[in-house]
Amino acid sequence: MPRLIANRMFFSLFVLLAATLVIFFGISSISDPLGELRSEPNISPESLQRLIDRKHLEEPLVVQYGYWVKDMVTAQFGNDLKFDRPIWPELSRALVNTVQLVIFAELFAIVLAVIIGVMAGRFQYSVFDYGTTILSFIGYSIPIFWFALILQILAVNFYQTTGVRAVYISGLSSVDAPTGLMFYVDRIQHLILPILALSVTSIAAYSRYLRASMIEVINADYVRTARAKGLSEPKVVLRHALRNAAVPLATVVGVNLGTVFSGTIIIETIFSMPGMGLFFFNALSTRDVYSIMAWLMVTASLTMLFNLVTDIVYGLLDPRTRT
Amino acid sequence: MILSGLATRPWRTIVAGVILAGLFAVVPTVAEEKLQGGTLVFAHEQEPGTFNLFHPSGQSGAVAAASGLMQVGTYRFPPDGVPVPFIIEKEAEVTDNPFTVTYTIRKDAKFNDGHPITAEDYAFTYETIVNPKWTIANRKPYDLITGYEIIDERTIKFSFSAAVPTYRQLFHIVLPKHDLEGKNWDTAWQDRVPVSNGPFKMESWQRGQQITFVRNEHFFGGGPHLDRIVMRFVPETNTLLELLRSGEIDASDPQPQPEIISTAANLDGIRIDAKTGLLNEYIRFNFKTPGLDKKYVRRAIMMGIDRQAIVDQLMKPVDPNAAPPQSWVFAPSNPHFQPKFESLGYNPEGAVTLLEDNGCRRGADQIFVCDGAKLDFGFVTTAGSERRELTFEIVQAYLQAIGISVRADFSEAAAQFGTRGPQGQYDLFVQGGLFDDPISLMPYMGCEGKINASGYCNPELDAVMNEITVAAEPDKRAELLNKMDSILADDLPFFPVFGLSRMVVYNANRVGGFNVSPFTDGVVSTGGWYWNWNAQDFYRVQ
Repeated sequence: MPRLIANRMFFSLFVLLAATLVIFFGISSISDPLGELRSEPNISPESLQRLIDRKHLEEPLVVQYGYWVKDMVTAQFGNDLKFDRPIWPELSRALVNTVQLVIFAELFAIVLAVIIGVMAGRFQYSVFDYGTTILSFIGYSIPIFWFALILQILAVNFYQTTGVRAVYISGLSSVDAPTGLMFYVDRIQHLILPILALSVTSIAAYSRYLRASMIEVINADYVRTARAKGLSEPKVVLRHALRNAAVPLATVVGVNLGTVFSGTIIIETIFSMPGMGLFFFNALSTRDVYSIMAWLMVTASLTMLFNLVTDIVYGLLDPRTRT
Repeated sequence: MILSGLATRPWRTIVAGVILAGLFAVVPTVAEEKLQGGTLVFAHEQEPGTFNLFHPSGQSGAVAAASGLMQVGTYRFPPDGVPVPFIIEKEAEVTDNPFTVTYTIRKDAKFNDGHPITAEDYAFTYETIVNPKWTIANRKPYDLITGYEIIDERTIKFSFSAAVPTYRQLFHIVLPKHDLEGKNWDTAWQDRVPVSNGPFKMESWQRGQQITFVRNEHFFGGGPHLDRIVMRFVPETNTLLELLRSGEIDASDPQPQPEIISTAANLDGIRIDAKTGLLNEYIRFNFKTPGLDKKYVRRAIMMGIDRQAIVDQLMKPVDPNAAPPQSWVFAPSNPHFQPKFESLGYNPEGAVTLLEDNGCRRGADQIFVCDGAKLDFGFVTTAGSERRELTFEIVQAYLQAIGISVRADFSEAAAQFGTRGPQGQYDLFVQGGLFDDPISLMPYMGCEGKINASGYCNPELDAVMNEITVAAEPDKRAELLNKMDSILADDLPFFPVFGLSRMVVYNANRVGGFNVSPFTDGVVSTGGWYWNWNAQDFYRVQ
C-alpha cells in the first residue's frame, strides 16, 4: 500500500505541472487581465502601469508563467490583481466551508444511497425497487439549480405558513449568529438545503450503481455459500454482499467528488455560501485571473487527492489491487 | 467600466420567476408606524474588496454601496439632481482668474469619534490624493490644485491652475487626518474603516457573509433612525426575492432585469423605488466596419429602431416615467436640456428612403448593399444578460424590417469588456454608460482616447471637450455640453437606446425611507450611492 501511494503521488507531480501549464496559458489566452480596468475612465494610465509592473504583465507569457509558479510555490499564490490582497487566506477560508459542505453532502448521499441500493438490489423488482428506480432517474436528470430554487421556495412557504423557521435559505450563519450549542444548530439550519440540493444527483447515481452491484453479487457462489453456512440474512447482505458490491461504488464516489465540487459553484451562489464556488463566481465577476487560476489549481489538486483516496479505499476493499 | 457589471447570469430568472407567483402564503399587512432603532438587513450582489475609495480596486458599486453608509461628501446629490452642500455650511465660494474654491465647514461636522471635521482634514485629503507614494486610481482634477490656504479651522481655499467646473464633485470623501496621518494609505482602509463621517460606522466584517454598520452617534446630518444596517452578500437574484419574502433580508438593490421586476412587483408588501437618470444603455458603431463608416447608414439604423417600444417593454415596468433618452448630457428636468436625438426618432420609411437616396440597393435577401458593403452586422453584447439579449432580439426585428441584418455575436462579459471592446472587435457594441461629462466621454470618443478602438475621430469634438473641461461658468458650460451633444447626435458614433433605472426593492412591511437618487452615480458615487445617500432616513416599521 505505501508503494502504491508513493507511486501515485510521484505521478501526481507531473499531472500538477501539466495542470499549471494548461491553466496559465489557457486563462492568459482568453482575455487581457486588465481589460476591464483599461476601459474604466476613472483609472489613470499610471495606476494601470503600477498593476502591470506588479504582475510583470509586459513580460513574455513564459516569463509571466515563471513568476506565477514562483508566487504559487513560495507565496501561496501571491496577491490578487485588483485589490493586491493575499489570495490564500480567502481561498483557504472558502475551501474549509466548501469541504464542510461537500463532506456532509457526500456522507448524506452515501448513507442514503447504500440503504436504497442494498434494499433495491436485495428486493429486485419489488415496489420499493421500482419506486426508487423512478426517483433515481428523476434525481439524476433534475437540474441542480432548479432543484435548489424549488427547495428555497418550499422552505419559505413552510415558514410563511407555519411561522416556524426550520431552515435558512442563504448564508452560513444568521445575521446575529448564536454562540455555544446553538451555533451548531444555526449552522445545520443553514446547511440543510445546500446539502439536499448538492446530494440529490449523487444519491441517484450511487444508489443505481450499488443496486446493480448488489444484484450481481447477491447471486454469486460465495453469497450462496454464506447462506448455506447458516448465516443470518443481514450478515449475508452486509458482511458478504455489500462489501464486494461497494468496490465499484468507491470508484464512482472518488470520481464523482470532482463533479460535486464543481456543483458547489451553483449551489454556493444560489445559497450565498462563502465557499469555493462563490469564490470562483466572485473572481469571475471581477475578472481576477489570478484568483481564478488559484482556484483552478486547488480544484485540480483536490481532484487528484480524491483519486488517490479512491485508490487507497479501493485497495482496502479489494486486496488484489494493492500491488 | 463600472457599468459593465450590469450583465447578469442567464439562469437567475428562468425558473423561480414563473413559479413564485402562485406560491405566496400569508404576508402581514403594511403598518404605518415609523420606529426608532432596529436593524435593517440589506442584500447586495457583491462583496467589496476594499474600502479604499481612491484605489483602482475601489471603483466598484460594491465599494460605493458599503462606503456610502459610512461616508458623506462635501455635497450630496438628491433625486432632483441639484447638489446640496452637506459637510460645508453654504455653497463653496468660487472665483475666476485664478480659479479658487473656498469651503466653509459647518460647525457641527464631526467624525464618528467626535473629532471635528476641519480644514486640516480637507488639506490632508488633497495631500493624500496627489501623493505619488500612494496608488490612486485617478488624481484628476486634484492635480490641477496649485496650493491651498487654511484660513481658519473651518475654512480652506484651494487654488487651481485651470477652472474645474465639476468642483462640487470634489472632496466627495474627507479623510480623517488625526486617524490616518503616518499610516500606509494603500492598506489603511483595505479591511476596515475605523473613523468615518457618515450616518453609520463600521462595526465588523465577516468575510463572505456580511458587514455590520452601527449608528454613528456623532452624525451631524440628522438621524439616523436605525441602530444598525447589516449588509449581506447575495449574488443570485432569485434568492434575493425569496429572502425578501421570508424576511431574512429587508431590502436589496438588484439589477433592473425585467423578469425580476415583474416578479417582485407581484409580491405582497414588496415595493420598488426606481428612477432613471443619465445612465444609458447604448449602441456603439465600429467605423472600421464597411457600411458603418457611412453616416447615413448609422442614421438609418437609429431611425429604424423604435426606442419607445424598447423602453415600454424593458424599463416601463421598473420606472413608469421612463422615456427614450434624447440627450447624453442633460435630463429632461434640467433647464438646459435640448432633445438632440429627437430628429432621429423612429421612422422606418425615412430610414429606407435615406438608404435608397444614397444609392443603396436591396439584394436578393432584401438586405441593403451600400457601396459594395452588405448591411449585415454582428451585434456584440453580454452573453447571459437577459435584458441585453432581449434588446438584441427587438433591435434585430426592427432592423430586418428596413433591410439591415444584425447577427448575434454575444460574448461573456470578461471577453466583451476585456478584449473585444478595447480592441475594436465588433460591428455594433452594446454597453451601459454615463456620458454627461468629457471626463467619461474622452476615453471612448476622443481621437486619442485610450479605449477608442472604433476608428471614430472628430477634432471638433475634441476641441469642444477640451473647452468644457475648463469652462466654469454654468451657462457657458451648458452651452458647450449641448454643442458636444449636437456633434455626437450628428456624427452618431453611438446613440442611447434606453435609460437604465437605478432601483431598490424593499419589504414595506418591515422598512422604509428609501429615495433613490440616480444622480448619485458615476463619478460622484463614492460619496454616497444611489440608494444609500440618505441612509440616515431609513427606518423600520412596526
